[in-house]
Formats: sequence, C-alpha cells, structure tokens
Amino acid sequence: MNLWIAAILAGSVLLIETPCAFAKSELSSKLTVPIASVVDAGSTLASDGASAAVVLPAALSQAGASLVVLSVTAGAKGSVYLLERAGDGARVSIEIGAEIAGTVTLSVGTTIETSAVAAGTVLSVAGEVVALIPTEVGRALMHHEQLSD
Amino acid sequence: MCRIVVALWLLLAFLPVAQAGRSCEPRALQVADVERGLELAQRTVVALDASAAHIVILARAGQDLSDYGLHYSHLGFAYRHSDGHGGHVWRVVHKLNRCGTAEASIYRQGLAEFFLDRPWRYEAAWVVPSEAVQERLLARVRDPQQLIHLHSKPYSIVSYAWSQRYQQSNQWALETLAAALDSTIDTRAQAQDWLREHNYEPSTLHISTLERLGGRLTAANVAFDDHPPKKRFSSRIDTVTVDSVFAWMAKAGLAGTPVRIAK
Repeated sequence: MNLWIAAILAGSVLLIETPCAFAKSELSSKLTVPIASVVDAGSTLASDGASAAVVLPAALSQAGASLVVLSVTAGAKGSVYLLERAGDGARVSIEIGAEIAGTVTLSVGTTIETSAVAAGTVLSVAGEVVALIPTEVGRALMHHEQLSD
Repeated sequence: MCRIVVALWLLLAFLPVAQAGRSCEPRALQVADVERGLELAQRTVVALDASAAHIVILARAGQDLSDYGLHYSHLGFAYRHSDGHGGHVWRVVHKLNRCGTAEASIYRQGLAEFFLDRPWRYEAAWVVPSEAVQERLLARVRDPQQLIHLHSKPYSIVSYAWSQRYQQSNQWALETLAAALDSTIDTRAQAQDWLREHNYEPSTLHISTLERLGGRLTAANVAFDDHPPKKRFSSRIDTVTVDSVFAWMAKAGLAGTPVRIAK
C-alpha cells in the first residue's frame, strides 16, 4: 500500500503524456454498420388498400424520404421493421440482422430518413446511421468476420 | 492539441499491465461518414482490380499522428478472395483492439468496414509486394491457422517492437509477413529476430513531458511496461508503424512505393 502511495506522490511530479490518438482503439464494434434487407417489398399502401401507391423499395432509395416505424417484430435473423412512408403511405418491411449502429433505438413511431449512396441506401435517425441496405456493389464491399478469439 | 495524461511514469513502473475498464467514447456514425467511407472503399477496389496485385499491404489514416511524423495509423493485408461464383471480392485481414479493453483479435472485413471507422483522413494507401512475396503471403493469409499463428491477444497500442508481452495491430501484420517469408519461423521471438536481421527499424516516437495537467491517467489499450526502462524513461517509444513498414519493404526490395488514394 505504501508503495502505491509513494508511486502516486512521485508520479504527481513526473508525468508522461501521450496524444489522444494513441489512446484511441482501432475498433469500435458499434461502428460496423448493420446490413438491412427488404423482406417484404410488397409495397403499399394507404390503409384503405386502394390505389396502387408507390412500390417500395424503390421509394427507399429516394433521397430524403421519411419513413415511420409502424411495428417491430422478431425475424429469422434479427428484428423486422414495418415502415410507412410519410405522405403516400407506401410500406415496406426490412430486417436488420445485427445490433443497430450508434445509440439509436428503433421503436414504433421513430422516423427514419433515407439517403441514396453509390453502394446502397443509408437509413438514419436524426442524422445518425442505423443501417445500410446495400446494392450488389455495396454487398461486395461489406463483410465482418472474427477469425481469432 | 488533443492531449491527455496517460500515465504517471513511476506509477507505470509499478504496474505490470495496462489498466482495464476504460471505455471508448460512444460515437455515432453520420450519413456523411458512411458516404465517404463507402466511396473510398469503392475507389480502392476499382484501383486494386485494375492492378495485377493479388495481395497488398493496405493502410488507412485512422488517427492524426502528424505530431510524430507519421502519416498512416493502421494496416492489414488486402487480398482477392473468392466470391463463390467464379469471381472475387477484396477482403482485408487485420488485427483490431476491442474498445475499452487490452485485448485484440484478428478479423476479416470488407473494404467498407475498413474505411468506415471515421478515419482522421479519408485516404487509402498500399504497397504491392513483389510477386514472390505475394505468393508466400497469400498462402499464409488463406490458411486460417497460419494466419493467426503469431497472433497474441494482449494488446497495447504502443507495444515495444522487440517484445512479446503485447502485440499491436501493425506488429502482428509485420511478424506474420516475416513468418510468411521464412517458413522456419514459428514464434514471435523468431519473427522479431528475423526482422532485426533484415534491417527492419521501428519508428521511435518521442513522447514528450506533460504540457497540461488533467485528463485520464491511463487507458486500457496503452501500456509502456514492455519497453526497456532506459528508453521508456527517456521518452523514446519504439513501435511498429505503417510508415516504417512501408519504408522498410521498399528499401528491402520486398514491395514498391506506396500507391495513394485520397478524397
């Protein structure tokens, strides 16, 4: 115990520093963007089921589209979210297989924004990315596998 | 400018290992981060596809190390991997430290994940090994057991280049490269001996004395107790860096000069 006290007292005079950079990890697993997939693109519709509405997921790739989470259910690989586009009521179900990125929790009523990028469609909440629906090009770019303990 | 107090040197002298339990700050990815990371990944794949290379040493500028005269922070082996349909995709095998811990593991990732970690600069750089080196390295990388044979879990981001107490990510890659080039190498110590014999020189980081009080005392992934006391107490930290690996490989005729893609 005395050794610790001596070390702390002595160390309070002689200090070594290092920049933040060297304290930063090379990995935060939270930063791996989960891949979302469309499980029911069957479109539609406004609640009256009428007119043919806009077919999703084409609507998903529309920059700046807003989708509201209508329900969250368990899926085979993760959680399935039923989304409805604001304005025309077009619907789509997506499944996100991994933990949602960042600090966002998707629940009923959450509004999701879509952004089109070359590799797919980015889903975000208040600017924070929650998942990516990749195109074929995007899928080829993405992989995550731990090879050792 | 972003400096923290990492350790009291006398305190460190009594600590056998790095303190555990520090957590990484939660950081949310913004849409622009993903857009830029994916774009860099895609441009890198296009450039690699256009090259004749089957495997390269790929680096990113994940952190600002300019105070140390370093440009890149992290490297891995990027190689053509079968897509199962007669084609290929590019995959990176590299070593990553889990946030808030003093341990690390080996991962295979896509180039998207490699560049999505909100790097300091959206920049990729790689060196193409000679054909003979590519052949040996590729055989090592494609063999899961051989790939992780020299991996050691205990991690310090500034681990001493000539010690086996910890192993940082670039050090794992360099030691694995050595083992690929000399099949008699079976241990980390042998790999380090081989690297010394072949004139590899780690970077010497000059960790200056305190500029301001405050901040954290230590981080889980930073330890200095593997460095020889004489060097440690004179603030000289010899560690494996991307820049030193690139320079050595070019000088030793093992690879060409770096190819660079920046946004």
